[in-house]
Amino acid sequence: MKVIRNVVRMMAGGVFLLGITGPIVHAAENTSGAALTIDAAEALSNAEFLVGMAKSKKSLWTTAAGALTQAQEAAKKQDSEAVIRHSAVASEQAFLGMAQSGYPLTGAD
Amino acid sequence: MYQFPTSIRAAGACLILMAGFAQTVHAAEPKAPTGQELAFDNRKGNCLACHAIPGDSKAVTSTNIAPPLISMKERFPDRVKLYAQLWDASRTNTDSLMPPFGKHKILSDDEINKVVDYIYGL
Amino acid sequence: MKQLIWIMSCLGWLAVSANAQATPEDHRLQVVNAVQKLYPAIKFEDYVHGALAFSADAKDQYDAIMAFPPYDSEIEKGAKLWATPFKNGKRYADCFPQAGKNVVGNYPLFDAATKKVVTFEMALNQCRTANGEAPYKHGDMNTMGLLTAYARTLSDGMKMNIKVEGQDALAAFEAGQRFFHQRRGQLNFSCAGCHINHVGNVLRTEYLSMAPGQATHWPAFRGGDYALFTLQRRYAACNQMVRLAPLEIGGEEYNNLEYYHSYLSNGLPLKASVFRK
Repeated sequence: MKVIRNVVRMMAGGVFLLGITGPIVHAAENTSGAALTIDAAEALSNAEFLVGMAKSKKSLWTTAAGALTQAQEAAKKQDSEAVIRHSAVASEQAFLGMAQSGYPLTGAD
Repeated sequence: MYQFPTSIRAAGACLILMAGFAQTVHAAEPKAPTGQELAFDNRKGNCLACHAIPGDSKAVTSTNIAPPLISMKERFPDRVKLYAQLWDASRTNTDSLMPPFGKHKILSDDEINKVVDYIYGL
Repeated sequence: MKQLIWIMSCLGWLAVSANAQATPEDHRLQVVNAVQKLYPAIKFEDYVHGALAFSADAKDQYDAIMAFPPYDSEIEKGAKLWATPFKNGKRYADCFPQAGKNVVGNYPLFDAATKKVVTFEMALNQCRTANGEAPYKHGDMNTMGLLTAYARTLSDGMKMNIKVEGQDALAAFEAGQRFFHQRRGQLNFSCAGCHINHVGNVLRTEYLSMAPGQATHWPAFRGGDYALFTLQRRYAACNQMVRLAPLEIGGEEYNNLEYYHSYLSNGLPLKASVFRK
């Protein structure tokens, strides 16, 4: 129950992010000459937000951080397909890391 | 006014997430490690960290944490239950040490199936 | 607002669970007794050797290395850091009772004024800043690490003596206890999963040490290259292995963890700058 609530909260956080970062993404694109597709830029900014959120909750998995680094590297090479692919992994692993804090404690007496 | 684009973006993100997973699974195919390789690899299944595999002479381990992987067909007549055990063992035992290979995407669905096939043959 | 309500409800829930919990001493005894029941042949005082307590061969290797530690020159560097006066002429020894001898077993301690856990490393930094020096980074093995590699040897033989007094201290202890039992990282391990629930089992080729005693032998020089590890650097390495991005060395989470973890070693003698695999 608590887990579900947490996940819902995180989803809400993600949706909130998509709402607020949308305009920022567009602005960045306008100045950088639209190197990435809008989908790729949004996926990357979503992943960056979620990874940051997981980090602030001390729940960041190395797999999420690693996938984000790969997405950022792909963005430098303007490879939108790879940006989307790695961002998706980063976002999902970040979600899972945050959800983990709702798991029952091991050997709890 | 603001709700509409937000929900579209959320839906988009979900699609992107799903597309990403599908591609991850496909990307694993070219090299295609075997079920045994996945089971032994300490960055993948790493089964030998916790399970002995007496039926495979290549399986070198001194572990005694979890039950040895023998007679798996008799122990798991229903293959789906063995798959579920790899997917998330804490469902049946909250204190299980076993990493949830599917739930946490440690292995792809395809990789889990290969490991299950290998273990099922033991 | 919604978030605030959520946080408040969480705090309420934690308060309730805290009330229901056993005292720190009950908990420590329960953990120690479980090990004793499982391994009656291993003496309590040998818990300081961790995994070595299960393997005579590994213990022999340890004893051989400890007879002539190859990393002695590193401890010497630490001794020099310890003895060098600050610009104002004061020394580390002036900041501690007994000039720093037999003090480390009291750390981490809980400072009721700041309501924070104070590790020995923090006390060393407090000594530095009180004397006009810049603090060391807790994760920097070339400064803080080396300094503790000597400073902690001054308390060799002292028994761990961690105190949890008052509600705030208890809250910090329980935060550490939760950390120890909380699954972390993609691989989903908790500290307790191995070091309380599977003590003495073999993970591929390595014995799993018991939690009591684990906090007594730090810093350690580890592996073939004798890399210096403070206890919190070890926490970071553990987290990395279970695929959690390591938390800040010297940060509140690891400090609370060290507080709980050290309490589990109460009554066991300290020994600094040992070898570990």
